[in-house]
Amino acid sequence: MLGQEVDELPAQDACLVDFAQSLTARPWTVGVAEIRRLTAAGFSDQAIVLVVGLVAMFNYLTRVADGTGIEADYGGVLPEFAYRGLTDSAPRPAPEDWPTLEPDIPCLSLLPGVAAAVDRWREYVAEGSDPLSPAVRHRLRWVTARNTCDGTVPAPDPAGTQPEDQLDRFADKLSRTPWLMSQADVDDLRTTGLDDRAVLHVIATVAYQSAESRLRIGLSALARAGS
Amino acid sequence: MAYLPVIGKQEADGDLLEAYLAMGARPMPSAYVPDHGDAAGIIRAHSLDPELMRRSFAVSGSLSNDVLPWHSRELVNAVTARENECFY
Repeated sequence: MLGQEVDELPAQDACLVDFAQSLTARPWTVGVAEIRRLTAAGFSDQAIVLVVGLVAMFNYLTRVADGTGIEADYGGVLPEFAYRGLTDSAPRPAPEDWPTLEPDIPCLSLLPGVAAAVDRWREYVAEGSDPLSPAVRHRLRWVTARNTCDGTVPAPDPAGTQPEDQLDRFADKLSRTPWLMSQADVDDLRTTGLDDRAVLHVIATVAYQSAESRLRIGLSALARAGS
Repeated sequence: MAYLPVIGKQEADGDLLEAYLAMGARPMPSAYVPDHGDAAGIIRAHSLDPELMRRSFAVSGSLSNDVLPWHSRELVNAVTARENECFY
């Protein structure tokens, strides 16, 4: 892991690693106990909000990177990246075992400026009407939220959005296994008539919801730990 | 080769160029400045929509908070990317 084993890390860093891994790969397992581990390791509530925010943001950025197919262009500061060859992500539990969540995201106001920035982001990506309709964005967010075990996004109208199959397939793959995205996935979406900017918004909407659901799960656990 | 068209800073004008200039004016650790002189790929990936670029990176900017030291923030970022099998 990044050229160093977790058990060789200082205790605080190892705790951060465990938490970031859980909230990214198994967000449904993050609850009060995981927050209390961070607190016991010396992290303040403000620091925990920041950790949750960073995990959420990098769940967005990695999906934009994989969905658009950009190439690595930073210098050689970090050890060379090696793919593990995974072909699926962790199996999801049944909906009755998902965490209990409220639509509002608590605790963000503990960090100055973050709540306002997230509101402006959400307004544009999750609720905007150009170049995707709100119905299409809703469908993408619903598929993505389910893959995070976040049940706060209501099911879309059964009358549906067209083309459901391509949208669902794309959102499912990008939210569950972003590292497997390819040119063929983007081309499949283009066959529906979406132009390049609209395809970018499909990617951004899925990536946004991947972040928002992790924010909601992580910060709901923080709120419960303090109550 | 990216799956979507990407407009670099050198080819940008108007609103996109303004967005790039604003991004470039933000404090940036040297590790995040690519050698090629253009904006980083993850920023250019948003180039088809300058407003999307502005609003997304406003969130990442708001998270550049010293309540955690830089090395801890980078650790969280790197582990998250690693869990997603992503080089970013």
